[in-house]
Amino acid sequence: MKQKREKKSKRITLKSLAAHLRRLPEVEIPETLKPRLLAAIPDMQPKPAPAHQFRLYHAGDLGVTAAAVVFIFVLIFLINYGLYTPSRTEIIEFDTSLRCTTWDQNNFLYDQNNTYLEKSGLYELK
Amino acid sequence: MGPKDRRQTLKDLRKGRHRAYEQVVLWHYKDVFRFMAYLTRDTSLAEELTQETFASAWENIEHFRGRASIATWLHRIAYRKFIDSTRCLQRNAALMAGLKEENNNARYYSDPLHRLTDDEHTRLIYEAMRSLKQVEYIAILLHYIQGLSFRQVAKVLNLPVGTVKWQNSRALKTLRQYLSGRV
Repeated sequence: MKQKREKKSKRITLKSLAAHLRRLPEVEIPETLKPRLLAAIPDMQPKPAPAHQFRLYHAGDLGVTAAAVVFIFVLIFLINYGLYTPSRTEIIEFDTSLRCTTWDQNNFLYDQNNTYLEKSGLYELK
Repeated sequence: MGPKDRRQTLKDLRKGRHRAYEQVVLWHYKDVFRFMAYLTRDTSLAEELTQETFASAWENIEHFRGRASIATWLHRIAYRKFIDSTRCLQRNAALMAGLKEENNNARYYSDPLHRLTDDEHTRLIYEAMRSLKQVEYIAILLHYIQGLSFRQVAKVLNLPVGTVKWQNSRALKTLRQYLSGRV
């Protein structure tokens, strides 16, 4: 029992081992190293920070991309809906009565039964 | 060195200010040399590799984004330099074989650690460290002697943090096993 206890007390703990490693003596640094390293620093010309350039480049790139996306959306809209023409409301004789109707953008006149007349045909009736 | 100083130094480095380069050398040359000394166990080789590390750092300063600390970045470059030099030495091993006997004696005196082994306790710890596998030795060296965090060590060695922690713990247990009864 006593031997076991002695053995255990001799056993180094991981914590104390870590502490020993942290406290190891400092390696001797050659005196010539520091001046050599300082002398080896290259002569750099001051230049604009690359990070800044990088950001500008991306900002420009983003603008071009955004413009292209907007242009594509406008193109899709124009292809689907055509150019905008304001609707015109007119009082017109249609199907033997006067009605207030709107011409749609393709110049078709619709009545309540969903029958329609083309504007040119209506003028022909007149 | 606080985070504010670090940011300012980084800005100055990118602007190519000489003073910032000097500052980095003064802050880190001892750490880089110590790391190299423990890795190579040869003063002149450690000195040479330290110079190469800084030269490589200045060449690649534009690629340093500042995500890691300057210390981590320099240690990573130093580690790569050491790996390259080891490969080079292995290639020349056949040529050096004949000179090995003569070199052994000279090498002992050029070992930057041999002067520290006057103390029996320190000598035992160095002996124990030599019994470790290379990866474990480097992990222990970076964390306990160089003072890097596990996350920084993982970045230097390009390994997951968990692996580094496991290697450290295994290395400590091996060291303890080696030292138990001797210390």
